[in-house]
Amino acid sequence: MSRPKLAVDIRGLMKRFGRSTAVDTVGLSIRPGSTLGLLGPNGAGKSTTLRMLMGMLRPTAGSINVLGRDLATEAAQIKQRVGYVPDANYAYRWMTVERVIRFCRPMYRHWNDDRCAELLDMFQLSANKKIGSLSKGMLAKLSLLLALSHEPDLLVLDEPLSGLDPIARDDFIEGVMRGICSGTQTILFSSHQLDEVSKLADDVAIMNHGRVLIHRPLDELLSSFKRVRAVLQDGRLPAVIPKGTIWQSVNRREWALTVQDVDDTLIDQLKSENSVDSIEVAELSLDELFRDFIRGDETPDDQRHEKAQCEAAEC
Amino acid sequence: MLMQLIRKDLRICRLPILVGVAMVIGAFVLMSTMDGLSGVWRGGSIETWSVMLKTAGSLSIITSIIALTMLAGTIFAAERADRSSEFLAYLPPSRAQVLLSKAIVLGASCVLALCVGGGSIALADWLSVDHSVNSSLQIRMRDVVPIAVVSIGVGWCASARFANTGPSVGLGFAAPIVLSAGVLLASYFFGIPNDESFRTTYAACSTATGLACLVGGSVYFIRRVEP
Repeated sequence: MSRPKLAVDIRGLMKRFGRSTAVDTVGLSIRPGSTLGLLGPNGAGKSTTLRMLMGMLRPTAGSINVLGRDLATEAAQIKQRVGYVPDANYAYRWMTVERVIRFCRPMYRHWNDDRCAELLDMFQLSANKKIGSLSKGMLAKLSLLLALSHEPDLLVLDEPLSGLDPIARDDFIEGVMRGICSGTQTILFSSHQLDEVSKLADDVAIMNHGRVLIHRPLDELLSSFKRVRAVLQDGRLPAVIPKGTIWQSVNRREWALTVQDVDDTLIDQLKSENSVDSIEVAELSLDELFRDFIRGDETPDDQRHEKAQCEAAEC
Repeated sequence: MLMQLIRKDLRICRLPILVGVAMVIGAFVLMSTMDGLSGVWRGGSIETWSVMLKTAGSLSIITSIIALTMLAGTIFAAERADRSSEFLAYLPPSRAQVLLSKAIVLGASCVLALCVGGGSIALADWLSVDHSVNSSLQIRMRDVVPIAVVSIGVGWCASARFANTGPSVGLGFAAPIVLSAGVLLASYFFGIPNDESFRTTYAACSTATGLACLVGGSVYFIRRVEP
């Protein structure tokens, strides 16, 4: 089979639970060999999206294509080539580590015993220990071991680092890094740990309220959005919000905006349309950008300007 | 892969299986030590052996139905109760393969129970010289099989639906009682005489309900959205 153009191609994906919409017409595409970090606050729909990708939930609408195959018709073949690390490991508590490995091994055509032994050694997992007695960190490592031992083409990690101590987190990331380095695996992971996302991800997608707010290469995302800090003239309010503003806040005379594609023209326009004394432009970290996207999304466009004026009026 | 799934299902259903084995063995031990039948161990006649085997076989079939209902009520729900079904959901086996492994475990247990109980009764008949001698507990298979089918079927269907073994096992046990009450009420309203035709009606209703539940539970498991 020829290498597909996209490792993951999600189109118009929707999931409704009764009246509430958990995932709302999501579209995501991941290039083979790249790493996509899926970010979002709790309840953004990240886990639901990943669970649909793993065939654990049936979408209400939309299509999912994984490694060139349609998930709706070829789920079993897809699972052969996908490794999944859930946010919580629900493997059979009565099984030992060795038993769960023996249980999973015959299910995969490309199970690599050497790789499994190497990871077992690296994670210092005791083969005779029962799964029920493993700590959260050890369970996460076991999940990663099971996900990597069959040398998957796609590795899906659903908030694997949440609740792990820094040492377990480092071990886990090292395991993932080894997975990345030893092959041409595509990785899709959701996380709240933005520093880890910046280390691992090539591309970033931010989700909120079941929608994808932005999906870009990480470098491009960080370079295209800037924090603009303007000092308003005494007693004046922002008049015109520049195009491409995703979030803004007014605190006394300081007007802070997160704006896309900031250039000299935009700065001149900002100066001419608003009564500002000075303007400075600063780089944004992924953490700041993530917060701004979410806060901006919480405020509808028509209210954004109104809110800024009200905040300014209070001072 | 199927062997791994079967081994896993046997381990998950260890309790009802062990209860079933203990009850079947217990039935034979109990009958062989009862007054009048205990002579089998002291050079009893063939007829004594025959009566003991018939009684113990009949009792083992009744106890097997209890254990098989527990097994059917446990087989899906136990995995959903501890959420291990979520682990299985992202592994390569398809729902059909998972269902097949569970069906094999339940089917094999039914066959085994039938072989032990029915085999004992058949052996007793073969040993018996005087066929007029009967056990006081001798059961009629045509009465028992429909009860087994409806108990196991309802337990299986409920297990596919619920995330707790308690309600599914309970429904399995309640099904023949509720159904007999229903048939009794229906026969009262429709004037069906309380004789052989009532038994036939009850057997037909039980078998139909049990089979429908077995099929319905299987389809529901294959088609259900969440693991």
